[in-house]
Amino acid sequence: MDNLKRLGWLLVLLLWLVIAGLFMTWELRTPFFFNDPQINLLISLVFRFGMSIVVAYFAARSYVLTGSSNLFFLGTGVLAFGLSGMAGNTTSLIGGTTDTVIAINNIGALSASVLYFIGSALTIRGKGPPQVRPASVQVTLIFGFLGIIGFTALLTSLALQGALPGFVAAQGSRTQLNNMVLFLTVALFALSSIVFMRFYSRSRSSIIYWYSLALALLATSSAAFFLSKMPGDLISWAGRSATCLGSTYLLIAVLAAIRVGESKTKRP
Amino acid sequence: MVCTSPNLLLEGESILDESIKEIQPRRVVIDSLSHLGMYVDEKELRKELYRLLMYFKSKGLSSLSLWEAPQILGSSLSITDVGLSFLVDCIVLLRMVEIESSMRKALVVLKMRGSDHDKRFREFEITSRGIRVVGALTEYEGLMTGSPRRSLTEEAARALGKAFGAKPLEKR
Repeated sequence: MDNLKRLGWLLVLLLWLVIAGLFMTWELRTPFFFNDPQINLLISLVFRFGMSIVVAYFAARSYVLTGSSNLFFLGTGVLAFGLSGMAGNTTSLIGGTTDTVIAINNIGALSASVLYFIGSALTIRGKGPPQVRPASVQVTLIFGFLGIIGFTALLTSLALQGALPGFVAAQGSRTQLNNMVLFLTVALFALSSIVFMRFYSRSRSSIIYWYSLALALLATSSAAFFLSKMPGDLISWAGRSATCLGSTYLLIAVLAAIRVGESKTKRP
Repeated sequence: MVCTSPNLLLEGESILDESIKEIQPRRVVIDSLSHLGMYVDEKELRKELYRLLMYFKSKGLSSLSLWEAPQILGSSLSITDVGLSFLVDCIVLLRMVEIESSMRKALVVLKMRGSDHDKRFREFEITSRGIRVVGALTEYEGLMTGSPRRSLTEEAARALGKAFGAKPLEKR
């Protein structure tokens, strides 16, 4: 294992330790809250939306080449994650409440985790991932991506109209529904990460290594939100850091694929 | 179809006049201009071909002329050896390209006066039912050299798919 990979893993461990430490010392510390909608939007725009678009583009191209369903779910999953992050944080600038922002973010993350989980299950299938017929590939892709965009738009519209059940209770604490959504998200991201770690032990592909770590970080991020006491406290900021790092790892996975591609396009 | 020695075409228009009167065609195919070039001094060739093509134009005929490209493969490429491109409204380049250790046929429209034409290389096949244009060779770069390679994004997408255990789709 090279040094960069080691560093990648160490940063994940460090985040786990930080989150555990913050959770255990909650009673001893002076409460700290910082929640600026514009900073949240900027973080979402760069780390959730921007990086998701890059990863979704490569996943889509790869899906068109192979027709492999697991790549379809990787593409749609990453798009759902990126779009919901941006949509959720944008609503805070157009009259959305903290409840609106959290509802869109968390439901989006849950949908992404479901799609990632399906993708991981299809990847480790004994016969290899199922392939779509060549004629259906582009149609499926267009419907899939448009479906995610439509779903995010609908989710945003419902949240803005107050048609969704509450995610934030009195004094900023979470509702049972929010807890359930976060718990499911953590479980699905963590399971997908474990599946891909196992897959990595067979394939030894750097792409899979960074992808599985990215999923572990997305699970960590949702776990941090689950453990946080209030939106904007230190644990939720650790969660946001995990999201940023997770998205960066997804990008590193794509860069690893580009590196492989680069070595093949060089003329002898 | 009029089969004749190409040098006769250069000895005045009488042979063409008779055939045009008889057949009353709308299109003329010259297969090939390179053949005509055998009978004309290289310096005079442009003038002669200009005369011939203008003659067809004056008769209201669309002409399709073929010119044999001297190189099969290679990075240096001239469309014609003598600079005839300005005489024609449209140039379609047919080219052999080496892809995955086999020679495949590709075509590209280099010029089409007054048209924002398709600029992509397309693969074509010659079948028992005629020419069949298959699809754009968008995943390759360096097709003009005759030995193209896949584009970087294409290779990266391929590597991503391979890492996830996916196999490329079977080509038609």
